[in-house]
Amino acid sequence: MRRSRTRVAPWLALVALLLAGCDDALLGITWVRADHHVVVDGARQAGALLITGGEVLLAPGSRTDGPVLLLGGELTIDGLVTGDVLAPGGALRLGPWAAIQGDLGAGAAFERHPDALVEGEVTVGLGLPAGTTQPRGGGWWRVLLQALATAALAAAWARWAPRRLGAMADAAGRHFPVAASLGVLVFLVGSIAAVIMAFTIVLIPATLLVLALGVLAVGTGWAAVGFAVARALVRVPALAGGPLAAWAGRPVWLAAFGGFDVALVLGIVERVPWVGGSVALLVSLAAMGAVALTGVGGRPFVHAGDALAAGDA
Amino acid sequence: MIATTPDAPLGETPRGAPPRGHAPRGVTTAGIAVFVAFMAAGYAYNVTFVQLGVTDLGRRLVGLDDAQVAGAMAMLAIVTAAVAVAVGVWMGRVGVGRDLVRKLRIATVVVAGQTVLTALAPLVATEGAFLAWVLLTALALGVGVPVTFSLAVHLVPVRRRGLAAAGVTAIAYAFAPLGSGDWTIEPLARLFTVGMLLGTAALALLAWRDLPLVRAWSRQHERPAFGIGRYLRGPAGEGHTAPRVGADPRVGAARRTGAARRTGADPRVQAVARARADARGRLLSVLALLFVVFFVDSLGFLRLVDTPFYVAETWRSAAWGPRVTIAVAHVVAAFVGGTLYGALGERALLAWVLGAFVLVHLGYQFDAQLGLGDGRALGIPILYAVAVSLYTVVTFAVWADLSTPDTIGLHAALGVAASAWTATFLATALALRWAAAGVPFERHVALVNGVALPAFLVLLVVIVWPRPRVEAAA
Repeated sequence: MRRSRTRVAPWLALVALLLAGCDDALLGITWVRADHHVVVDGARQAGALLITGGEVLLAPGSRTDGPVLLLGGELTIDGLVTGDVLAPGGALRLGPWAAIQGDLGAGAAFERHPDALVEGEVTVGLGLPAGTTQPRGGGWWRVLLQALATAALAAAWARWAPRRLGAMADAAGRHFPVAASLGVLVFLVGSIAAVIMAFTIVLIPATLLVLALGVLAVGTGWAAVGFAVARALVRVPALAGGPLAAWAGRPVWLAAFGGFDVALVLGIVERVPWVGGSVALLVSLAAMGAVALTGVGGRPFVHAGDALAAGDA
Repeated sequence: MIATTPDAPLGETPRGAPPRGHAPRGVTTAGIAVFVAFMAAGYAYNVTFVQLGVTDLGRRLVGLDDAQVAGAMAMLAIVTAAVAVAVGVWMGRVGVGRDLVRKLRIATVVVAGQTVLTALAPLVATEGAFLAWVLLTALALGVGVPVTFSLAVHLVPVRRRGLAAAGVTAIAYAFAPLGSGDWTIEPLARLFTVGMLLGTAALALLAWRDLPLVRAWSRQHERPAFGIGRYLRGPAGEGHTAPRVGADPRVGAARRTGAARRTGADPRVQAVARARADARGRLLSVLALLFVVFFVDSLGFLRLVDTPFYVAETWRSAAWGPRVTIAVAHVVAAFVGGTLYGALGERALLAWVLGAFVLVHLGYQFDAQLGLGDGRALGIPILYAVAVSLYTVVTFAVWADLSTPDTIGLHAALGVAASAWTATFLATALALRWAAAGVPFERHVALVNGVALPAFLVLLVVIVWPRPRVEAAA
């Protein structure tokens, strides 16, 4: 364990030094992840605009101060953008009233009206690895696919690394507040680092790596939460004798069942107005925290308070 | 009057066998509530009134230049630290660390004195009066810090110190952005005078009335669950929870362990000596680390609050929205920090908490150098609030957890006054010096990061450094 930490530390230090040396970044951002958003005529969008899903329209007469980063979803620019526009993912469209004062870097899904104005350098052909991002939406099909993917991931963990999955499930199930708290920190630090790295340009590959790791961590965490839920359900006396009880000795099936159910339930809960998104976010943070607490299941998490309680007793 | 048992003179802890079993839940809950309320009020006073209000007092009302105010702030820091350490040593020698009632009475006198000083602050008009006011404030702070922080060994069980610290942080920081958008001395003095009058009355009630609750609290430090800090469990905490009768047990223990190390006599005593050496090393490491954090934070924030571009639409916004958002971020982050404090080992905890802080601070530099925002974006203030809340939670809990009732006064003095206060006020003085010298904002923030980034790298080294022989919570 110590050896792996020793290996990681120089890389973290290198990233920190690169961040210190870079000269293009900011943290005052607007992050669009879903739904339809319009910056209307006469409105001013301050700070950076990060789009990972949904649809955004910068309408004619609008002004966006700061760089725009499109990683997923759809962006239509028909107003003034004073910074750079970078669109390695998602679909970018420049309307007739679009005016970009900075550089433009676009991926494959790029459409430009002949009257659109770009004052800086234009680069077409940037691209994210296939499948890195997807526009959100898609309704229930997306939920179903998400559930199936989580079930597959959970089954894979249970098949090839059952102890790791068990350690993560223990952390998520028995220490939910701790896992959620650490998940908040992981999310904060990861997103800040990703945004800073994205705007250094040179570290965009590292940004993509961080995003991919984040998605994988949440998926793995969901699998762990699902496994914890399934293990708990097996112990419920009322369910004894049912099909679930038959899977008690088959962790792969149990994990797949739990992963599928948790992803499905979260996909449904997410759509509940007001509280649904918060609940889904909380569970996702706890899932990510459980992965971090156990070092991706490499060590069981021992709550320091448990040792204190034993000593006091 | 309190302590009416025959062998317990007025104001002393009743002697006898340590209390057995668990304290009633209500007693513990009430103790935590009193500690949280008292510390939150004290912290809000220190951060908002003293650190920000005194600067305004010196500059605007007295008419001093930045360099003179910087000198006064440095004096405040040095005197506060010196007095606090002296009081901490005194507390350990005469056994005040174990005497709740005496601590409550000292705290009452200190808060009463601070109330008078606060009410008089807007009347200070000359440089001489200002310096005298600063000296008296430093004296009160220096006495107050070890006395109030040491209340934790009576009022807050070790397992609940993280959440208690979260409560203190949440209240103190939620109060700061919500309480007042105007950080000039007159409104601050009015606000704090009223609050501290109520606080003085409440403290006097606890200190001089013979309340059963206070009697129960006054014995709780004898339980290991209260008296031995989390990082002293095992041999390092031996002998510290017995009632203090006769000679100071630490002296004998220190002599025995010192002799044992030389002669190699008793393996058990040697283990105690090693554990205490490890505990001292841990104390020094935390002192150094938090000194850097407080220094960096204050050096950056003091310049930020003087930069209208960054605060006019955020911390000092006329609208409630931004200030409520920042307050909520503080509260959420405080409870995140409190939960993690109780759950993680100290290395992982400090790495996460301080790493997040340094990263956020680094982000400020990027924003300042590029000037891409328009000052209304709340992203950076929210992240700043989160990072500050996290490390503040640690500073409220860690000194008690590195201490016993006999050492809590000195350790709190070293941690809060000699480390945090000194760092804060030296940074304040330096920030004012730089402002007087015309250092531009971008350069100022870059210099702050010149300290922050090496601190982050040192943290990485700390994470991979081999663990000490004695575990924190064995």
